[in-house]
Amino acid sequence: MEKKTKKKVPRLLKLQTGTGERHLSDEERHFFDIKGYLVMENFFVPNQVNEAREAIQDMAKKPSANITIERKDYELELLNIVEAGGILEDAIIFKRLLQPMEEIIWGSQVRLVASRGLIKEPGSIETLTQGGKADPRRYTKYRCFVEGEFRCLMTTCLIALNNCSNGNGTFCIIPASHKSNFPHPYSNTSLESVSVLKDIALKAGDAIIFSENLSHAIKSPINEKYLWLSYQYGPSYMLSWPGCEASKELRTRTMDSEIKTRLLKTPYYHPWDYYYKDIVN
Amino acid sequence: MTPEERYLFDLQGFLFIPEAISKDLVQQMNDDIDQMESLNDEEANKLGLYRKYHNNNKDHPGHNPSGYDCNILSRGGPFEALIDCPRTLPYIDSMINEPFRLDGYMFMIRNQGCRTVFHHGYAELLPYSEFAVEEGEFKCVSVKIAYALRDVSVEEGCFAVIPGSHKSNFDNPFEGMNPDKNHPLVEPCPCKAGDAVIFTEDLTHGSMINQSKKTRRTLFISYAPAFQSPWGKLVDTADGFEERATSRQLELIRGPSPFAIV
Repeated sequence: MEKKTKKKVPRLLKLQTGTGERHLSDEERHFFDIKGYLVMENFFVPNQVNEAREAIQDMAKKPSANITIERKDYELELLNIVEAGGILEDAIIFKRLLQPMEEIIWGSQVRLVASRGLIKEPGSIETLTQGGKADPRRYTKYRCFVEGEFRCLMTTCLIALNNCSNGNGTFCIIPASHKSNFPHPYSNTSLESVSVLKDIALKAGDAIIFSENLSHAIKSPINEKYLWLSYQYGPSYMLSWPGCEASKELRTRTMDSEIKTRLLKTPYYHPWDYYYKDIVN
Repeated sequence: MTPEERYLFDLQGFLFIPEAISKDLVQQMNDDIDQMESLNDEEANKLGLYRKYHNNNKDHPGHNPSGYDCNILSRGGPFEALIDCPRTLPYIDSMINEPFRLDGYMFMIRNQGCRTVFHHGYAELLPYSEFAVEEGEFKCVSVKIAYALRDVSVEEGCFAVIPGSHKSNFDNPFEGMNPDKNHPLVEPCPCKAGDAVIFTEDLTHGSMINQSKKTRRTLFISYAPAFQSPWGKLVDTADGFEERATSRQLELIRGPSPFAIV
């Protein structure tokens, strides 16, 4: 077949080959592929932990217009917490978070799909999500192809704002369940009784990046309220979680940051296609 | 889908649907397009129609522009009938297999000298176009329908595919090339007006060079799971659509709840 004259396309914008981007070490890539998660110690320094805690608590008392609070039994969820600004906004572009997300999802074509502040009280109950092929949420799909090119869909970063260990309010997962071919049989089992469940001990400021396709849950804290921050990323064409669309105010105040602008823009397929770009509001 | 249709769609990545739309509807759409063609760009833009030109007919300088794409659903009228075409929508349902939306509706004109180069295939790295089968059910994330509005032969620049390329494990060496009818991998898909080709976006596809003086007219309609976004204004509708539309049409355009499955 006769080849047409082609313009040189930057690798990042080329559709059918990999992005070739590598930020994780070989060991991290291998670990994430096998286990479905990565822990980042000291993601926030103590000052940032305090700032995040205060901001979440303030928002819970006096939410701003663009943050929605959903109250469940023993749990408060603050949807679209990125709107609160400060550290809660800046965290979305921390290199230690963004680089793995770009590598795991789709190079520079990632966007912030949801952000949440979570306040868990003693007694909060969470069921263990299904993982792998048994997860009915197709938008969570874990994918890794030739030469280790990841193309995961929804991927989550959870940041602990308390020390969580020994089953006290800990985040827990079933390692490797993102590749499970069968549903887990623990839907009616208390988390404490699931032997294959692994507690991830995190100190305040530590974070974990995991495929949403991994079976996971957060255990109830025993004595006090525990605070968490959750950021979910997806490919550029994934819609925002309802209630997590970036407001005009947020878009305006982040205009100076090319990266924030990219993460917060409306969903898109082709970044270079001005036809679609021009006519998208 | 019949067992044979399931087998063929899995095997080849596309299905040919003869007489998918009635002659009467085809005529109404062509009449409307004739009217639209009489508008210049400025007049079209005022009506919410935006043309994306393809000026790639260097061999036929007398026929510029050689083709364009256009968000024709905002024209309304007979085009709304294809949002939920009863002949084709059940296939989409079986191929995507979860709540889905119409994510793009585009009209394409291809004049003499114009073609669409081969693109896609080996698209496992292009996540929005994935072809997948799980436990005997299709789980595709982008399925398109090409409706021919005029008879189109190989010489008139018909749609063309590389059957089976949706399962390729290697980079597509023909990406960006003109489809060549003599190449053993290439299958041109000549159509009669009203016929349709349903294909997974994962399939390597394009169109033959239009070597005739006849203009090819095609509608491309695309569907995707609810969590995927629409393609910009390619799902914009005409005034009064919400009042006219059936509940199914409204759901397909607005999109079902994107993360309803938890």
